[in-house]
Amino acid sequence: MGALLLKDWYLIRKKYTWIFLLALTVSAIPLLSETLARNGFFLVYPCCVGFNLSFYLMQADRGSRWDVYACALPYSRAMQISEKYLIGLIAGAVSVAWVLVMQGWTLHRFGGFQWEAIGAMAYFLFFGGCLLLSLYMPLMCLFGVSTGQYVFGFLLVVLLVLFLLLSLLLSFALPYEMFSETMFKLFLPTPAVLGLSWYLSIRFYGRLDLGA
Amino acid sequence: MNALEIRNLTKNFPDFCLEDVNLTLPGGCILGLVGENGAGKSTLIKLILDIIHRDKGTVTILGKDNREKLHLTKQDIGVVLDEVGIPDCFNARQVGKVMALTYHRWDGGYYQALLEAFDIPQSAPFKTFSRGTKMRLGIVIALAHRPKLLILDEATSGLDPLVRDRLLDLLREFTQDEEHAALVSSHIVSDLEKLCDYIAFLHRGKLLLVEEKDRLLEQYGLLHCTQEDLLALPQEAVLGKRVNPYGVQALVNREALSGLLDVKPVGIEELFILLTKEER
Repeated sequence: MGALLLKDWYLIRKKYTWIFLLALTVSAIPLLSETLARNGFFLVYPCCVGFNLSFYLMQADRGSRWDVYACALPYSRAMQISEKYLIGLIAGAVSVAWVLVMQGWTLHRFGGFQWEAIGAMAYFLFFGGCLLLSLYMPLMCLFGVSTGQYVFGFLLVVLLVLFLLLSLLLSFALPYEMFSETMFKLFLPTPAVLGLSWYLSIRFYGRLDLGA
Repeated sequence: MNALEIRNLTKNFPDFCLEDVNLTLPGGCILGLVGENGAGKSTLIKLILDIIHRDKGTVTILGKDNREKLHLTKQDIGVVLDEVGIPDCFNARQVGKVMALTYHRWDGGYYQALLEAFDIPQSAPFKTFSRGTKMRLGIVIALAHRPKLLILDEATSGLDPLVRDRLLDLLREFTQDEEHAALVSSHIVSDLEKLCDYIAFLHRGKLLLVEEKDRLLEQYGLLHCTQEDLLALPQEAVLGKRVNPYGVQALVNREALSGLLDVKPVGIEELFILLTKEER
């Protein structure tokens, strides 16, 4: 797996540095004003970039035909997929950590710093990102990158709309504490979902005809 | 031990079918795969490497089934596909570092020597390479871990005659070892004729024949005659023909003819063209 990690590290350094710089800049915007500090986009976007890194890398692999070439090299398909999960998780964790530092700074600056808030943000951002990774990886492995990316885009929109509707419904129906608790419980099965997604991705990718 | 054994290999696509392929590549030999565009050469190679999954049949590489821990067997295989899948932004030095972690027997010194021998720039990105240079890098990667089996898919296309000649020499040297073998597909049949011990003809997804090259050249020949003379010959002896203003050029099986006729030697390219020509 070391070879695959090194290959992706070179690729990230050459092709995706700008995406991370953009994400870093976005995460620093809330420092500018209190109004901006309340906008969730500046929290969520950099984390999405981190957890989506494997998605970009798989697209790049398809573009250069590395995906086919890798199957001619001594890497098992399970190893190739596991490496992409690992990259997604590492990049996601780094993004979440960075965002939390920036948010901590922002809250401190505007006088609302609370450790509980930072902890809750860490929980929702990391698990939310993991769910994103758990969604696109099996789709890319089942349909192939070319088709999978569109299926993912469509499903993501559908799921986001459903999630927003559900959270809106719950926020009206439940008192604040119960709402937070319910949302917390909703994200609890994330590790199991991630594990299932990893298993399915390996199965799907194992069956995929590459370069046909 | 045979380096490669393929039995009844079949793969169906909606618009193409590779049917019932049987092939054996003994150790110490080079097998040339000849076929027109779309004949199924690349598909066959991808099936061997399990990049595409077979519907039927078996593939045994270096004594192991290609579905059993193939990634371990691939430590002993060097592959050049029709498109070398190196990311555009990589240079040869970075490729070397990745491959050093990929192959247990990666020989950095040999890689360096091959890069110099094949005149490959070491710090220029892959995207700036010509098709020939990309192929050359693919070949160097395939050789630098000292594999036992080489699989080259159209690896000589895009190479200039000098480099092609150097590659042919390297391949000859490679198969001097009885444990080494190579499967080479190419459009440039003259290269295969110079190089191969065995020749396989693939046409529209079917293997027309697999034969030792010398035996093939011995068995088949070209007969120049008139249409009437041709009709007088036993039909099983005529395998293909080409009609021209001066008469007929027929591909014949020498064994099915009497020795009196003036049958001339045939080249592999001519043999393939006449075998696959539709006007028999």
